[in-house]
Amino acid sequence: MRIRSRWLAVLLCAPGALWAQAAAPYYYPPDAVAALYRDHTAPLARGFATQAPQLVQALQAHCAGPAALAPARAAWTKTMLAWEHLTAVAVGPLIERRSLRAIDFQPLRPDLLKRMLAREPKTLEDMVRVGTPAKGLPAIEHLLWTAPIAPNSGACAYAVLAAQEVQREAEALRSAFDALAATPPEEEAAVTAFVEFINQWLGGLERLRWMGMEKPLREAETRGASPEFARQPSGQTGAAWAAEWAELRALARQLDSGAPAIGAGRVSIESYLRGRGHIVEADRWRAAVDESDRAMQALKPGQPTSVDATARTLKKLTALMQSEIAGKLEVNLGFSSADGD
Amino acid sequence: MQTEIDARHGLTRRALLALLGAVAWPPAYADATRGKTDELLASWAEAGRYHAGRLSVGAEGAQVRSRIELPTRAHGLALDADGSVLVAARRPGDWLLRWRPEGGEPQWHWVNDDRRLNGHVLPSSDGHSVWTTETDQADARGLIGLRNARTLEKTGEWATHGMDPHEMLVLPEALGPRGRFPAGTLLVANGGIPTQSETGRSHRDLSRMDPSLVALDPASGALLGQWRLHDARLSVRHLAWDPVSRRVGIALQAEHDDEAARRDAPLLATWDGSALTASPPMAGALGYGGDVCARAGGGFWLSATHANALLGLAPDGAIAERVTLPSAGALAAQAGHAWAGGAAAVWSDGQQQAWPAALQIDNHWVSPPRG
Repeated sequence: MRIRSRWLAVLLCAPGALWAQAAAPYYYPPDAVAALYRDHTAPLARGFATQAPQLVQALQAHCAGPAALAPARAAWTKTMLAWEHLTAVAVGPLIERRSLRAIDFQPLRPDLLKRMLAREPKTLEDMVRVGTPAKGLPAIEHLLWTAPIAPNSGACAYAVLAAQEVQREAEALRSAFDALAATPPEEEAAVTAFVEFINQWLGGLERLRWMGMEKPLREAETRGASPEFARQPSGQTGAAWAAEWAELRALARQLDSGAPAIGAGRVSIESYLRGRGHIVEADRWRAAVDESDRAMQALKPGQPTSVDATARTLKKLTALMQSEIAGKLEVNLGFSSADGD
Repeated sequence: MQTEIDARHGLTRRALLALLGAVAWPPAYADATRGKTDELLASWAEAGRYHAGRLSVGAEGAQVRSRIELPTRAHGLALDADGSVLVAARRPGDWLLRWRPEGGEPQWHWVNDDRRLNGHVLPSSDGHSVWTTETDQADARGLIGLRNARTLEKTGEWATHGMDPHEMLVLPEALGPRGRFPAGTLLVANGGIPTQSETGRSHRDLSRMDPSLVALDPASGALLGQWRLHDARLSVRHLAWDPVSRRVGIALQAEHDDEAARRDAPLLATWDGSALTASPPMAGALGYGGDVCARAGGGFWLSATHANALLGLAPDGAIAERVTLPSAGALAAQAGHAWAGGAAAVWSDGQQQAWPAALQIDNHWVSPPRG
């Protein structure tokens, strides 16, 4: 039988200063998942859906002339950051719709983009036949910074269409996440969603650490060249990483004010552990998240040594999740399990 | 002699002989006398870091002789004819490595196309290419990546006619009615488990599972044959050639929703050139066959990882021997000998010895031919 809103009496022994950290309700997966959809993904999806039309409008204004590249760039940056916040932990509709592939395929294929531009698509239906590696946010970034589009050009019209696709996806995600927030899964479905959440939290961390930071460094070392990070053309690499980390951290670490009551805010991994009495692991987890946070605050994307050091710190957090935390959360990690190999 | 064929990696006789002549292992570690020192090429995790390297197991205990740090966890390794070791990143993988245990610059290859490596790599039977099992991230289609043997760059792709292709094996001699599948035929285990790039290793929608074994023409990739088990929840994953029974052994992993079905599922199937046949149910084997290799005298060794057991199996899959080996995983066989890795222990031809607990051997290892 599920018992809600009970507080662990054992934690009454905790020193006063630590009380806020230590006490937490005993959350069940439906509690954590409902909070995730209500207090995390739905507002972030709304934020993205609010920004995306502004990108379309800014590009349309630039394309109509006179040139207004700066506002279009600013709108792209805001849209991209809203997207990074939403996708830091990609769950539910983001997976089902394959949204990351659809509007943020990386790395961009400049040769394919060139070929697609030559086709001069005129409508969103035409864009369906354009491969994902040549559209979405990376393509728009390319057309705003690497090869800036001129007003009244075919490339400008292409950028508008690409942005309209982003807007359409943003609207679909907003709708889907609002529906989830209104009717969160229960019982078995909630357990499945909780397992997905933890796996995707770790997947998001690994996307930031390995795909974002370490792999480009390793590749650059092999090539004897400078690393090429995502969002580099716009100079937003650091901001994008910070946006991802902000959400990973928010879902990992309990606020200093303490764990939320059930139904009153995002349930962090730390709070979930504390609520179940895994105090030692929760303390260790919190310390590791804080260590990663310090590394992220000190991160300088232009300095490979700084990126390398940060990636190594984040790797410790990955290792801790894999070796200790996932087990306490009673989650089998698809990202690390031996099964299927 | 058939028994001298490297059963674990299924090299052709000619390739094996060339390899035996070409690979020069340091004499100190290539002692031909049993009971002294065995060499194994493996990948492992230690203190949160991943490595590939050369291990020795002998009277002086288990030791790491040389190593290279890896960026992420590896899975399969293969020995190439020049003595270098090919290492593939674990699924969904994005790097390949050619490492030279005797020294020299490691050769890294980074995968940046819309493909991910599935953890196994194999030098082609003609020596001109390197094959990798891969997944197209757009639609989860299984592929064999054809790669330039020198640069590891992709030169082409073949369909595996399934999802989730895993281990490959080159048929060392002709098999099937009227030699339908000549020596050199490429066998591929399509694990059949649906995955999605956004969710990494997580299994999705297992009701869509479609595992199969396929035989491909090694020159063109043309489909020569495809076989399925009756039970679509048995994922076919690892392959080994038994030169005595002249069968391919296939290690299975059960993906049934029902725990009891998973617990007692067979962990071995065999293919004799005509039919793919699952062995009888294996009570308490817990549904996970980690690796498979040939067993001296015929049949197979199979690591039942979750059951903490090494199973000695007759060619028809009947259990002939059961050895307790915690987290039994990596297997290798050569010239009548076999090695099995587990947690804090290594087994070799019936003998177990302690292994540093901090060194967690991955699913596979390779025993190089002795000089």
